[in-house]
Parts: sequence; structure tokens; C-alpha cells
Amino acid sequence: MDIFQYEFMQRALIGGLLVGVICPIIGLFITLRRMSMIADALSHVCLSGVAAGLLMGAQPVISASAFALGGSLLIELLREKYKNYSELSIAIILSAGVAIAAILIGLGNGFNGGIMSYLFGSIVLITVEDIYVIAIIGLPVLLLTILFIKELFVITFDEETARAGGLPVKLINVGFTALTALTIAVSLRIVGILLVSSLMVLPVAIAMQLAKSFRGTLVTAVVSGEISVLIGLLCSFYLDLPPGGAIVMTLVLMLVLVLVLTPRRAASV
Amino acid sequence: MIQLKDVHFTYGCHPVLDGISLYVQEGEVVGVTGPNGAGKSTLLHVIMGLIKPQSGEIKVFGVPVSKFKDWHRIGYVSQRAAFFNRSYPATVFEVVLSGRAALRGMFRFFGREDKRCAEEALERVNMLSRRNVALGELSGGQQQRVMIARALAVQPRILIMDEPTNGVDAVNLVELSRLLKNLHDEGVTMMLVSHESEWLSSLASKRVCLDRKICSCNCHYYPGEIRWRDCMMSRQEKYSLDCADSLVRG
Repeated sequence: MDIFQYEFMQRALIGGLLVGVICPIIGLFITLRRMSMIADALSHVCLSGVAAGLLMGAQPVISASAFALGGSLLIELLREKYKNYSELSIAIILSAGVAIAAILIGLGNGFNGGIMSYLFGSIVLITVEDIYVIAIIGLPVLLLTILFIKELFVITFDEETARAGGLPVKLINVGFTALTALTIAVSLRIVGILLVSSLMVLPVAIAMQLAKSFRGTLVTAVVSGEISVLIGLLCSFYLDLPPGGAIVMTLVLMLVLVLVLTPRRAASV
Repeated sequence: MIQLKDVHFTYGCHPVLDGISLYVQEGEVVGVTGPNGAGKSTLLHVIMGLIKPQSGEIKVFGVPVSKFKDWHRIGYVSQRAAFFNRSYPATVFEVVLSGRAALRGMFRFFGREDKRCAEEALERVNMLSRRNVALGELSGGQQQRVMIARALAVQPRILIMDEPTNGVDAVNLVELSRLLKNLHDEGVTMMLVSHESEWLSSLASKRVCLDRKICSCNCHYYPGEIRWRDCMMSRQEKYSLDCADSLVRG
């Protein structure tokens, strides 16, 4: 296609296809752990990381990764403190992330509107450096998640039996939260901070309606993610829309279509 | 296989296990019953190393539980297995195969041997024909059989089950009893915990009534069998009487 002769579209496509694979895989385990909101909390922590990066002249994706990692570890620590109200940890970190971001954006006088491209994603502003950072962080995240897929399955299915079987459940849980944080950080350039959690959760919601096996759900979620990235980027180019909004609206329309066509399963999931 | 000597466990200042001594020997079916809050599940958690007792000695296959590493020699079906997420997107085969995750080890994918063992386990519980069915589409009794197959997939020397009758109706309970008897005939040692004392009596060769202490046991190190009267607590008196009666009848 002609549009992929443009270098910025090639960069958007490479970055988009990579996050289109990673986000649904991580999103599946987040959903099965019933912690969908963790992605929202960590993406808001990323906002403060991006603001810090812009303020100090550092690569925003790298500073967002560092902030998100810190946030993920704090969430795990707070989950220990509030064992019976673990969702409190997510609310606390989300609030702290937004508060720090507001202060840093204020200190940077709004960064001349540059922060907007991180909120909703931007295809024209993705640099070669961004793609390297996305690949260097994203590919190991993808590899590690695939390597731990059977352990994550067991833990999300029945944590007690996983612990009884001798699996290092706590270590894997902390590691997985860190992988979630890194996934959000590398995805924010494409879909934006405010919509990254949608690219994690919506493909899973679609897949759960269509597949009954774990493998089928995983594959369907990834395929849905990739289709939405492709259609979203095309819409973004031709209609001059923010890519994050276009990708997520594609996913929402796909989900509505699936829910309409498979009403029986919708009631049981 | 499993030895407990004078094990004490308390939640805060609330004693849950008060000087428990118990042995599970090869080929036995040990049934543990007792009222709610008697410490039945806690007893299993202590054996499985999920919680640490304040005092006492626990050995699994002759090794102190804190140093025991070969957990794949024990097949464990937790009480929570009956209350799992019914919309979890997985087939029967995927769930049974997952039982071998710890045995396979980290950074390694399942191989042919794992798949063969999972199929064999499904065959033993007579569920192989339903291997590609989503777990949530099965009845409570069938789901329990899948959970047992998951525990059997590691080819354990002993099967430990916490409240296996939860979520199983009367018809499927007969099937479950038949399955457990068959497994015992095949040489599987079992430790079963259930509040259904009569059901347990029909299966167990060694029967233990627990109410924080061991109230009665038809085993040689608790002579007289009717020691339950010594540790009876008023709030549970009726239940324990029924429980002990059914054990004596069994």
C-alpha cells in the first residue's frame, strides 16, 4: 500500500504491530487475575514519567518505564499492606501518578502541548529512537511472558494449588506486574497513556466471547489486537485522527459486533 | 509418608491445631472429619507447607516439610478448586496439563511426556472423551473429576483432597466414591478431608475426627478410639457425637 512508503507510517506500523501482540497477552492475564484496573493505574504513573522525561530532557519512554516499574513495585507492596482491600493499592498509585504528573506538567508550563501526543498517541511524531526503545524493552517483555505462560496459567487458575505445587508464586506475581508496567510504557507512544489499558483489555473481552480454550483465547486476543492496530492506523492516516482513539474505537466496534453475533456466550462470561 | 508430631498452630491467640500427631502410611486412605472451624483445612495447609506451625514436627516422605522440594510426589486438590472461576477460558485437557507445570520446571514448555501423562490421568477419571470441552460447561461432579485428574497428572504417590464433595450432587457423589475406591485399588495413598463424616467412613481405612485436637481415631497410637469425650467442646457437642457415632459405625 502507498501509505506504507512513508517512513513515519513504517515506524508506526512496526511499533503498532509489536504492541498489538504484547498488550493482549499481558491483558489476558491481567483480566484473569481480575486486576484490569492495574493497567489504568500504571498508565497514569507513566504520565508522570513522561512529564519527568520531558522536563529533564530524557527519553520519555525510558523515564515512563522507570516510573511504571517503581509504581508496579509499590502496588505489590501496598497489596501486602491491604490484603483484604487490594484494589486500594491501585487507587492510591493512580492518584499519586496523576498528582505527580500535574505538578511536573505545571513546572514544564504544559510542554507547549507536546504532552498531548503521549495522551492519545501520535503516528507522525514516532521517531526511530522510539522504535528502538519499544523493541529493546518490548521484545524481552514478550519473550519472558511467553516463557512463563504455563506458570501464569496455573497461578491465575488456582493460586493455592500453584503454591502447594512449589511454584514461586510471589516472585512470579511481582515479575508479572513489572512486565505489565513495561508493556504500558512501550505502548504509550502508539495508543497513548489514556487508552493503553483498552488495548490490553478489549481484545481479551472479544476473545473470551469467541474462544473456549486458553490457547484459542490467547490467539484470538492477539489477532484482534493486530487487526485493530492495522485498521486504526489506516483510519488515523486517512481521517487525520489520533491513532489511540482510532485503534480503540475499532476494538469497541469489533466487540459490539461479537456481542451481537454471540449473545448466548455473552450471558455466561 | 506423612508424619505429624505434636503440631500446634494458632491464628493470633486462637488455637486451631492443638497438639496434632498423625501418620499417613503407604496404601492407606486417611479420612479427616470434624465440624466447621475444627482446623481440617489448616491441617492440610500445614502439611503442604502453605502455612508454618508455631511448634511441632512435620515430615513428608521422611523430610522436614520446610526442606521438602519434591511437591510433585503429592497430588493436591484444594477446597478452592470447587469454587474456581467457571468462565475461565480453558479446556479440560489444558487444565489437567497445567498440573504438571511445577514438575516441568520454569523456562520449559510442555512436551510429549507431559501430554501423555495428562491423557493418562484423564483416562483414569474417565474424562478423556471430554478433553476438548470447556471446563465451565461440565457439571460439578465432572469438574471435580477434572481437578483430581490434574492432581494425578504428576503421577503422585499420595493424593490429598480438601472437601472433595463440595459442589457435587448426590448422584455424582456415588461416582466420586467409586473413582476414589478405584484409585485406592490402583495403589494410590489418600488423605481426604471432609465434613461429610458418613461419606468419609465409607472410604477411609483410618478415620480421624478433628476438633482442634484429634477427638477420635481408629489407629493404634490413639488407643480406645473414644477419646473424643476428653476434648469435646460444648458448642460442637452434637456434631461431634454424630461424627464419632458414624466413625464407630464405619
